Amino acid sequence: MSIAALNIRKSFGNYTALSGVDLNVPSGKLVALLGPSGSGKTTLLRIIAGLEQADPGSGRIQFHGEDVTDVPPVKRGVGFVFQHYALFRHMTVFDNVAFGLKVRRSRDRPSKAEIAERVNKLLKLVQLEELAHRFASQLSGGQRQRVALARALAIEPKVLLLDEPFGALDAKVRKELRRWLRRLHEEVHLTTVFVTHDQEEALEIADQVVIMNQAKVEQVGTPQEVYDHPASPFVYQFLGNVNVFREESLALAGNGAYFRPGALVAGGLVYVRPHDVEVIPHEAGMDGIPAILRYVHAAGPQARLTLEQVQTRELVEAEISRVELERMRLTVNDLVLLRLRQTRSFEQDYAI
Amino acid sequence: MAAGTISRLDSPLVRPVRRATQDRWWVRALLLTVALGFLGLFLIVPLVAVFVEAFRKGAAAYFAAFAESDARAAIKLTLLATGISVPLNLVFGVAASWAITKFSFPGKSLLITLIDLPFAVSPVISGLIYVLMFGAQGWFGPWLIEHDYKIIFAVPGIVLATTFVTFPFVARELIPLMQAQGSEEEQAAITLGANGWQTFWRVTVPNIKWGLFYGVILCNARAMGEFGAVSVVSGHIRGETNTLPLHVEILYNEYNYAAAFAVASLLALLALVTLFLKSFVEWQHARSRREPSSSS
Amino acid sequence: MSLFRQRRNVLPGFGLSLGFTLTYLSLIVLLPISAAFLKTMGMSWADFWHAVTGPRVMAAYRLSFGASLLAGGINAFFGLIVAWVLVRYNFTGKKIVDALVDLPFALPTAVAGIALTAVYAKNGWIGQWLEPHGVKIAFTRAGVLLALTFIGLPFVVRTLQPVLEDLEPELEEAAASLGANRWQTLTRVILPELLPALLTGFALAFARALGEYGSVVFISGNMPMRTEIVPLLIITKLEQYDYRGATALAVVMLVASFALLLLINLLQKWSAQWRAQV
Repeated sequence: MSIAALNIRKSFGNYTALSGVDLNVPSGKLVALLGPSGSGKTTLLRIIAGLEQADPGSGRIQFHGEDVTDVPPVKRGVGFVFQHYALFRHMTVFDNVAFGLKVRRSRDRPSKAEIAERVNKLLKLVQLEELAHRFASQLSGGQRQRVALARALAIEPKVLLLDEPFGALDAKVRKELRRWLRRLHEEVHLTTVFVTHDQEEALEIADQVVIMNQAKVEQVGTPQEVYDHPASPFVYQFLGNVNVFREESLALAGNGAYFRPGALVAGGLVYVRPHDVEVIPHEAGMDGIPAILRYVHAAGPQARLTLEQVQTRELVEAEISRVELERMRLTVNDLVLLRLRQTRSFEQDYAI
Repeated sequence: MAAGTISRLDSPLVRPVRRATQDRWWVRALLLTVALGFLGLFLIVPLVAVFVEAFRKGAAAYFAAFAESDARAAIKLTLLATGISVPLNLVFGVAASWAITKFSFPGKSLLITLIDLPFAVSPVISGLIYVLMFGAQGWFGPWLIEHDYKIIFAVPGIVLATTFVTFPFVARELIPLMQAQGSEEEQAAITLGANGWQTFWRVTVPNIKWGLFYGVILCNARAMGEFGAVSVVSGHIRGETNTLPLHVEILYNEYNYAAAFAVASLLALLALVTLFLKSFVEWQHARSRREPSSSS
Repeated sequence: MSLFRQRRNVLPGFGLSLGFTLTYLSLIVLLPISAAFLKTMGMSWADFWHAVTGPRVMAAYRLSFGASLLAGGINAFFGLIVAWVLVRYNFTGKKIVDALVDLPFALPTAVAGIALTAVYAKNGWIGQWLEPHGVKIAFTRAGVLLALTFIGLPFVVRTLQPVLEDLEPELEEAAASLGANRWQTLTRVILPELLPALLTGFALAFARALGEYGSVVFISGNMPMRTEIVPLLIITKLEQYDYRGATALAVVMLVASFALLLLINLLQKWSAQWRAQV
């Protein structure tokens, strides 16, 4: 089941949450809506679910080419997982998962035995069979998350929507759970959209990443596409650490042969990821931006260096392997040269 | 030398340092005495007095006070007025808090203030306004007389006045509770295919049941004990329009103290049961809050 | 109707619940209260002024407002101590004492009235000890004050308790670590924190006392010009079939009550902001 959102606008009073957003989710894919808080991603998700309505007169929502803009949530066939799970606190895990089946009209309602069978199958899928008779308050965050997921899947949705599914969990559980979600997706192959503000999460498990900022979609693409070819300074900055050079400062350093100009625009800013900054020991006559090594952070396989450019005194971050660092025998306050392997600059620069 | 060092190190342990949040012993003793003395003089002594006065002439006289037909009529009328006004205000409270906490609409805070209005109005005035509406001189008075309906100095007036003074109780308990709970659980139920009534009965009601019960017991206590408002609209017809508190007044004014206090002791007992149930609900609530909540 | 259309919400029942709420509110509360105001519209200004400023009325105002203010003050003082003791100290029977604080809410006012009279009359348990010293409580203004203090007692305690419970011990520890003694900590740190809630509790107790009737009529003796409160005077006028006089007085009291309600709302908002800031 593919999802299409066409020109969706939404405002709350004076606040614009979405200003003319388009979105296409291909059938069977796992798509991340990624953006900082307030970028409109949760509002978009809730509009897809039918929990919110887009502003009157604005765009449409289509499921598999069919217009569902005025269809209530349950008839759209969506399973929705709320950020704080919204488990029914007076019900057991079993009853939570069974709820969507039990509230069906009697002619559509499966028999008690069928309900039990389906719930148990789902609980097995989310690895919670042994906790069926616990209450939500007796579960850990990760377990609650999986109950919420099983409950949403129980009504056999055609589309699964998750709002910040791992937002309330601690770092270790988060990592485990997102890999588990990816595996689950490969098993059930349900069109899935999830909202997150964590770029690592989005890049790791999504087939497609939709990056949102200030009520607009900035870029859509596979994780590799958006990481390697960011469409805007915002995306570049949002998807990882970045150094920003003013073009003049590069010009100052020499004729520019030490970096591939790429799409350099006069007077613009040049963006470089720390792992694309090459550090070499200083030798007279060699090309490069002279800089002084100020700080070395060497926990883990990569060493993070903080360097100060000699001419502009601006700071630069570089990431090199520990092996390389040891080979060069650099110590703090050594003079080095920087070369930029891969740079990027943008047509319209604006302050970020 | 060694001994000296040890004793110096030990001294804070031997004489514990008073914590910054702790008062000196004599301050504690003084405040405790003042507080308990004040409560004793104002609350406990009068409460005990009710029961002592009630049994002054012995158990036989005590129970005789309830055997009287007027007393029985008063009990029946009190139960009737309460039995109508509490369910009405219960339904109202649930409807009002559903509208207020689940939706946004202009004028909401004004509505909340208006719901609280009956608490700000003197009981006497609460009775008076119904006299102005339905009394012989009132707006609908002539019409009522013509059609031979009686509201003031009759049971309907008592029910109306009781409903007015207990109007806000349930809504007031539910609004903050439902506001705190949010509507995510209801939204989840809707996305899972539940209809409005299913969502309300299976998700909302179990979540608010203690708040609902709390509101109802407070509403009930006030309904059974209301004096001023009912006094204005009742007309004090013995055996017909006297509620229990009005019956107490009549007996007292007739210098039939033992009977007055006997009936009063029944109402005092009701108050104690109310306080007990109230504490029980608060204890339940505190216990449910101590368990890890779903989001944090 | 479009003003009230709900586009944001998937939950049903908005029209039904709000419609019922507004209808019921209008029938039970708004319409009857407006009847009081409309009734006075029929009076000339001179008649109205005469009805609400006669000497007997003025005496009743003085007693009602004066005794209510004083009762609110007494409750603010003792209520602070009771709340402090209940939050900070541990003693046997604390739970029972805590529950009993609400007795004036739960005890019918008529019962409170006759009980207080029985205890503080000159042959009562406490009255008999006061009588030889020339202190009379029942059937005097002191009796009115006593009854009004009784019924306002829970308000200050119950508004202060949650604020005191939320008060962070770090505040007092910080004050102590900066060299303040206990008294300085109390007056400069704790009391300012409690002030909005204390004022709210005072205003609530005052508002309740102003309209109180049941507990006062038994103990006051109801002597015109001396121990007659405004609600009693309204009833007296009603019994003399002076509906206009009664209504005019009621309107004055209603306006006072609404002003207080507004003040209390503002105080509560202030109190909430105050607590949110810290």
